[in-house]
Amino acid sequence: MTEQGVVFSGQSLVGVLTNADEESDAGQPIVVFLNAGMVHRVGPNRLHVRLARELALSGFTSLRFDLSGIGDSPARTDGASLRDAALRDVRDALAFIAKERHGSTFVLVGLCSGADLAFSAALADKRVVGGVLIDGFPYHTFRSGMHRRARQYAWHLRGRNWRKLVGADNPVLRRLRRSPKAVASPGSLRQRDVPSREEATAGLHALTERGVRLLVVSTPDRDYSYRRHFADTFPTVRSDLVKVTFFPDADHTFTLRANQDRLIRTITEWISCFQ
Amino acid sequence: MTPEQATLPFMAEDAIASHSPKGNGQGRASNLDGRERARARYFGPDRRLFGIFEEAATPSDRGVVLCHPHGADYDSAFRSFRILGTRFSRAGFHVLRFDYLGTGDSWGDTEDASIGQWTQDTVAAIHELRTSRDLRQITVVGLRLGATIAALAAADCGAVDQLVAWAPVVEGRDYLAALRARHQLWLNDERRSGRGRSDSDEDLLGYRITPMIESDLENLTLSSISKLPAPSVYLLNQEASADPPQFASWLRARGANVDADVTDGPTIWSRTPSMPEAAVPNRSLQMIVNWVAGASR
Repeated sequence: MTEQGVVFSGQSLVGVLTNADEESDAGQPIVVFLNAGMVHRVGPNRLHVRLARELALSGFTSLRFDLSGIGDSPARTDGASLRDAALRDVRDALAFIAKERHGSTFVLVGLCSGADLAFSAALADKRVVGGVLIDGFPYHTFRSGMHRRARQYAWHLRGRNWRKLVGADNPVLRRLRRSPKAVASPGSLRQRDVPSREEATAGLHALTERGVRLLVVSTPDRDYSYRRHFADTFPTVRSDLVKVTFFPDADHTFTLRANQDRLIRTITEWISCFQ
Repeated sequence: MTPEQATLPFMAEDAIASHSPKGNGQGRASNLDGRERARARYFGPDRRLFGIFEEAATPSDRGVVLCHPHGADYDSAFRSFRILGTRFSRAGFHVLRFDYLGTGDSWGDTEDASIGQWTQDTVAAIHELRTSRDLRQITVVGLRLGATIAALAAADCGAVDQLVAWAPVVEGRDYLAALRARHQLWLNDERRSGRGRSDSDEDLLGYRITPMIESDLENLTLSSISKLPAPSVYLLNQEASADPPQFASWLRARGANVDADVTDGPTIWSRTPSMPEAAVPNRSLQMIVNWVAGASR
């Protein structure tokens, strides 16, 4: 395994290539890590670095790079929207490693906004054969609304806020009186740029029909997420190509080392389906 | 390892503090004039350390090595450090930002690390920048534990002209206690949410504190280093950071020219949930660049 600093896309995007040994990586897809929010290419708690090196030991070369305006990559100056700029950056990254490492297929890995981008980029580029989407698809369901309310109740109970809990101005009761439909409406959470749920459903169907394999990982650290969230959100998406895993003890950025280790194991086991 | 030197034109400061996924990209710096050349490459013994080398905007024989803070502080301060590097480059300094062994993009894991190792990594970075550009003057700038490591490295190699210690960790024991307290606060929140049941004493805010590093920190006292790190030292503190008067007195007693300032602004190394991810302590950055530019004339 070797690593090298790289700069590409008109000498503007900065990244690190983690090269698997040549004899072991023939024909494997190349893994590309996308930024998680504003965290630079090493990933939250250095997760991308650890995962890249584990994958290299399994024979997978990878690129972790900074989208324009994040980490070491300067912002684009062409006036493109952040969404268009990010998609162009991914396209440039795939073009770069396709040329550098003669890669013809790719697996995209993203957490949070990185998962949203990986999903969009996979739809846009048929060379993408797999995706690891961590805490993506931020859509509310009826049940996620109930989960959120239950947590609010628990918070009030723990805080001994009995009076507030049963009072007329109880914010939880006020929310309960609302129409479930309003809570269940899809939308982007925390200003994330995501397609509508209908568009995401169509996209998932398109990807599975194309043979793209997906590993969907979720944690309970977002108020929309719970164990059956994916199944409830996309009831028509039933494919052996989509593996869904829930990490009940993990937070959004896998802060605890034990959760990092488990995530790395899960991904390295899943990706062996490409060998 | 392929000894490739990747180059890029670093822009001035591309401000994305108003980051919005659906933004139209306006409001970001769009001026490509005055591009600075930079390289991303591995260096040091066995090329195990990752660094970003930025060229001075104008011909120069002065250089700055930037020493990142540690752990969660590193994640929080990364963006500010990149902007600080670019400001130094524009002010006429060659710049090297690098990751210690077992951190960032450098080789190894935390298990390979120690304060002594990171000090030697910093000495290697100082040597790399000085020799690669045949520089006359070297300044080392560090934040939090990075400031402490910068001071240790400067004292060790005896080849540093100026030291900037930004909110330095003066007592390792206090730093460790504060880190544990922050971790416990986070962990309490996690447990209230039904998560975080698989805790380990070695994990603090996402990063492993090995027995080696724990022991190093327990015994670390900045004012007990054996030699003067640099003839000129700038101590910059922000409100929520530790006060290092003892260190300043120690430096002055040994003949160092010490300037000290206290300023406000976001303490990016201990980011709170209400602090924007892209928050940058612009005033602190400019005070540092101004002091180094003035001191190195």
